[in-house]
Amino acid sequence: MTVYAVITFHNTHFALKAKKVLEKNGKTVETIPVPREFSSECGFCCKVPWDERDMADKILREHDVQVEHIYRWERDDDKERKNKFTFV
Amino acid sequence: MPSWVMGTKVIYFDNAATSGRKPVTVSHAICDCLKHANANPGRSGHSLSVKAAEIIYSCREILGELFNFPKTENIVLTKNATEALNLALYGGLKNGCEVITTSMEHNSVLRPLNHLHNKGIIRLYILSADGNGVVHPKQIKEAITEDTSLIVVTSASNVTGTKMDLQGIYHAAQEAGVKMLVDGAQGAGALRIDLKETPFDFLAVTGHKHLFGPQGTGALIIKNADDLDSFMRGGTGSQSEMTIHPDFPPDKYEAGTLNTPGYAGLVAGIRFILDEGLEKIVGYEHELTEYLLGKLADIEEIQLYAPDADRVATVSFNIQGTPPSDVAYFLDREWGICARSGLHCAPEAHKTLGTFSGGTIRFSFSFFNTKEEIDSAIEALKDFVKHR
Ligand SMILES: Cc1ncc(COP(=O)(O)O)c(C=O)c1O
Repeated sequence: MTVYAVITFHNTHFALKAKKVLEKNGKTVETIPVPREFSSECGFCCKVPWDERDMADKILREHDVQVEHIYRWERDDDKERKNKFTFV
Repeated sequence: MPSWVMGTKVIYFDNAATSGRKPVTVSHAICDCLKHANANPGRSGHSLSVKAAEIIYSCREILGELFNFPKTENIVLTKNATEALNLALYGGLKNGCEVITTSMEHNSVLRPLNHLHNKGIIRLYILSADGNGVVHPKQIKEAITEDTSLIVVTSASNVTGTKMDLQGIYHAAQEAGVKMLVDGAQGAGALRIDLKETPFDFLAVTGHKHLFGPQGTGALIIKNADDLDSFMRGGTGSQSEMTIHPDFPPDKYEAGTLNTPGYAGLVAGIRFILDEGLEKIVGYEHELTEYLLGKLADIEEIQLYAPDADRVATVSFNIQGTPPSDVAYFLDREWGICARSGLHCAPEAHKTLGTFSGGTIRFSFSFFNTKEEIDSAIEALKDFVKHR
């Protein structure tokens, strides 16, 4: 099992700004649909390793990226299928 | 570089209406978006929706880069300058506001303002420009009263090309604590606008003119989102559990699905400007304009308007004793030269120039025009004068 920090935002603009800013600072970030258990929001949010949440939060604050919430998210990664689709 | 219409070479001198030739990367970006990112931006969490949202994001980002405005969430995407101007005016003006504007404005400024004035919501003062299309900061300063809340001014006239003294007017507005809305439709991509140097409260731009984007794209850049109410409300993809519209930008001002393929094209258009360098583009367009002015001066029958203006690459003139529509028709049919005649949606500007209601012939250049094309146009005008 892996533990992640799910960072949610008010809108996708800030979610993408967060991804950009965090990647610029050497963090690995994935954008994912907002997990149902946290919000009924229809957009997406950022996922980072749980251990990096404080650092991520600090970086985002420094760059004026408004964070809504940071949630703890436990995942059984083995169960996740990793299909890759390409649209042409 | 010539353009082609159904196999016939045309010379396109109507770039102030819409830039005719776009960098090839613009259509490629639009096609790429339709093929590879054709989903709703910001509404879903799947990979294609994220890709679409990234295009929207990059559009705000590159507009921010062009205008030196890092607070990209305050860059609101609109369908054109008209929508941006309406958003600023209807969202910002309250009962009893006094507004100052100029006679050089486009109808996209004058009509909303007159509508608000005629409804008794605002009081409107229109300052007359001089024969070169200039409204001096001093005039603005004198017109400001303690009730003035907004000054609306164009960055450059779409009739004469006259550049407004935006810095001088901004300082006059600042001194009096009055907000300023700049209509950047003719200035964005045609002159330097730096919002760090002169932080106008609102800047409205359109994508399809000098920014080389497609039609259906534009933006309003807002210094302080607290100054402005929303103008339309609806779906945003954010706070979907609520039935009231979000109050944070940009969502506050963007209801409904955006024109993602259009903004993809606009990003490519602005990328082209940044890669080439705005100064180089402006310099070349200035060279073309000076070249035209020099040649026009040799034709006795030509009456040039705003002769001493400091201008962008837009020039208005007439051939004495001839309606401008006749000249434009001749240029188009006989020489394949696309130029605009008439009032150019700016009736007050023509009253100022004394060309109401026949208007003028307008040539407006882009980075893709050449001196050879101007030579052809001069030959065409001489041909017209000789045979009319
Ligand atoms: C000075 C000026 N303002 C506003 C506009 C309106 O631009 P759009 O038609 O893209 O909304 C134009 C262009 O026609 C213009 O020249």
